Amino acid sequence: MYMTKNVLRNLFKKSATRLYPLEKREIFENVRGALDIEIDKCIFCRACQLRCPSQCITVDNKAGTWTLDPMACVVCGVCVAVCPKKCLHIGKQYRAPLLERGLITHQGTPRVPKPKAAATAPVVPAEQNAEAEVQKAAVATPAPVNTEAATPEISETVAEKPVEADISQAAAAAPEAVEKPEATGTEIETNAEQILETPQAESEKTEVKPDDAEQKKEDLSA
Amino acid sequence: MELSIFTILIALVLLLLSPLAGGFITGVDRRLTAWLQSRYGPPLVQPFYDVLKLLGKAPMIVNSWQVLCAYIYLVSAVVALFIFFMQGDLLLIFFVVTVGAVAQVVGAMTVNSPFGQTGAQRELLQMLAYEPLLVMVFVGMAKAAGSFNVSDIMNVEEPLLFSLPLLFIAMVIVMLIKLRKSPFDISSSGHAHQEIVSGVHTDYSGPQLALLEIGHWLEVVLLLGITALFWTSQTTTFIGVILIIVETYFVEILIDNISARMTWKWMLRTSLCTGMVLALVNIFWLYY
Amino acid sequence: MSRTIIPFGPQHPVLPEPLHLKLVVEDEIVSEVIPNLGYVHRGLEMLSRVRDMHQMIYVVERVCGICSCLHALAYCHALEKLYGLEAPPRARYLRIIWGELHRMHSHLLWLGLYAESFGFESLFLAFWKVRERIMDIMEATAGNRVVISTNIIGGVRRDISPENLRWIMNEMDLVEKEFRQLMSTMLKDYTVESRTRGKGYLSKEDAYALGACGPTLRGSGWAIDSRMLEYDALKDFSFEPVVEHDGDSYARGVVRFKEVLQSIGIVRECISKIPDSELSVPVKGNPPAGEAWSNVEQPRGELLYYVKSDGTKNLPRVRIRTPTFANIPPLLVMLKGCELADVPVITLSIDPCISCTER
Repeated sequence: MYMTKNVLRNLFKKSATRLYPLEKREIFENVRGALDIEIDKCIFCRACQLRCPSQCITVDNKAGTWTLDPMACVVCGVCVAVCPKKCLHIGKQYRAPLLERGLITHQGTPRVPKPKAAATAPVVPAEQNAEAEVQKAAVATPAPVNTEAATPEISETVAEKPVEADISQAAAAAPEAVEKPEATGTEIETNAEQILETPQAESEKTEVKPDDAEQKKEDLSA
Repeated sequence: MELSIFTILIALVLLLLSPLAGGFITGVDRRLTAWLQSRYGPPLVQPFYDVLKLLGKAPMIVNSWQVLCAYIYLVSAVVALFIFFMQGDLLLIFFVVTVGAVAQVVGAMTVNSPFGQTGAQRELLQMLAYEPLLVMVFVGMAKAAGSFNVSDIMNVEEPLLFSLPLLFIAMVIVMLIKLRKSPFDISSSGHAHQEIVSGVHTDYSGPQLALLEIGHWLEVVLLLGITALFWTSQTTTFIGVILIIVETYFVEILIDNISARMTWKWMLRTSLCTGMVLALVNIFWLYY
Repeated sequence: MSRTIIPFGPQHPVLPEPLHLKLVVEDEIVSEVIPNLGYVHRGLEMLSRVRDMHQMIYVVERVCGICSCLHALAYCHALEKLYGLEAPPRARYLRIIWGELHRMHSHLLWLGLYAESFGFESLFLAFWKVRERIMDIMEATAGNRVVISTNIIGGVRRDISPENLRWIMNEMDLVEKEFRQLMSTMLKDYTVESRTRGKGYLSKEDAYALGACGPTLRGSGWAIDSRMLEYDALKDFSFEPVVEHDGDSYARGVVRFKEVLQSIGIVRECISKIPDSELSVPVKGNPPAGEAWSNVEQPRGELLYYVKSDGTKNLPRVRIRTPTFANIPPLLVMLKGCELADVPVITLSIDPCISCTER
């Protein structure tokens, strides 16, 4: 009997449900709807793939693709939190229903070879490279004395090399870089080869050298 | 009861319109229940969509007695309504409806499933609860109007509601049971699903279930017609009759929404004690 | 004397999750009950061998769909014990706010299903209408209606802004007002009482001996509640569990009803006293080897987590002991001797969450 009041009151009040899809509700601000990526900012570090609880992201940094399985994604937001470039976003709109199961693949530009980045800022990186190379050369066993003696030349050649690499863009740079020291003599030729070698050692930690551009990438992605 | 071609034709026309009316009343029932529960309900023509869908399904029957019982139920509802529209004898209507209800029970009992068996037993108990009340209602009407014929009852001088108020309450109880509404919806589909899945209707599906649905619609029309007899007289208008039907149905739906479902023991107790007491008091008062 | 075996479940309109009970019925009186579990076993505990301990939070949240935040909370407590960390004050308050909101939504869901089990559809929908407000609060503050993913090891991931906190206070007033309108129906209506009083009686000694927990235990007279252990922000409030002494389904319903009102009070207190601090402490590296356990009050009872670590990023053992698992033996005792019409009512009165029971 006590329910009578509630039930009769309902007759005169607006309904608690709405006639979806004729009338839709405004979505709240923080709603976790669907995952999306700005592929241009992605550096393919694969942090999102490693941290995803449902393993729905696959990243291929050789080909530069970022693949999401939208039906496996639980929109938890862990990948958004760990992304170093903040290129993942969770939008408000819920994902539309899909008619068949499929993967969403975004194609981005793979990681750029380092000389391209070094050429755009010519002086400073070259000096840094020179210092780093000096330290590396001091540590590295092959012909340390030669490289120390040839420091100013090394810096020149190093400064020249990135510029040449910018022009040549990849494998062609290697023979040209070797050519330059050849003009100055055999000693420096060997030095040049060592110079070519030391940048290899250095690129292990940061960027990719032009002569071994493709090989470096293969090493890293392996 | 006249047997002229005219009356037969009118009765046939009304009979053909009854499934439509029954379907609409069921649609209004669902819509009104939904509004009382603060939601939009299905469209008004939804029962027709449901029956048409059921008729289009492949039949899955356990045995052929089931199908026969479904047909008997439908035929009995049709015959009872036909007699009502021909303004025939109320007691005859009562027994034809009973045949239909027993057919439903037998149909459920031919199948060996526990839900069907339990539902059949509960349906029998339901019949035990409402049939005495319905007989008392008819007896009271006959006493007040002078005969059991619907034509005579429709022509009384003043509406029967004034002389049979307590019997009207008994009629409301009967309708609650027959229409399968709380607190008495204990035995069949759509209602006692929390306990015995679909009860009496568990093993029916497809076209046979559609037959049971249409039979139920016709029964609804019949019951509302009997309720209308409480207000038909020489002095009241057609609008008044429609109004009483609408109000009674609204009260039924309201009671459905404000109470939980009770057990069959409670139902027997309430209907036989309270209902019968009301009915008997009214009839004795009529006699003296 | 006809003896039939009526299968209750696994697919049954009244059960929220599949549970198979074979009822041996003699003339509509239940004489024996044979349970059968295992319909939703997903093997989630074994996933800790392949997912590291941060990813396991999201796995563990999905053990149950109704009390998910509290599973994550218990797991984070256990791991924080292993690491030896303590969450900052604001995180502790936020955890309690979300935990109590979860308790309210779970109890409202249960009250609706309970009403449906004895055929009262309009009361069912009325309770769920109130529950929609709480779902909106979860969606606005945490991003999702049910699985909110806010707990992490060391604190919480998200903050609730001051406008949202004010809005939650308003919503609590509305929820309380609408909830109290249904109070007289739930507690005093004749039809409701006659369907629930005296049904499924569990005596005080039986409740303790069989290992009942949660409202099943508190409806039989024991004042035992895991929130008395005062984890997180509950240290700053005085907490008294709600107790009833009758031991039947009606008493358990009343316990849960009053717990909703109690939770509204706790949320209000938390919002008014919430301090400012950072949201989480950083967690470095793998957990040290060892084992830890934690104890949290779920809406259904006491939830225990046991976690064992061997120093790597995968935990070799995560053991979850859920309250419904402990409440099923009392259910078998309650169902003996009852009528067939009362079986749904009694089964629902322990609040069965079978997906918790069989992770």
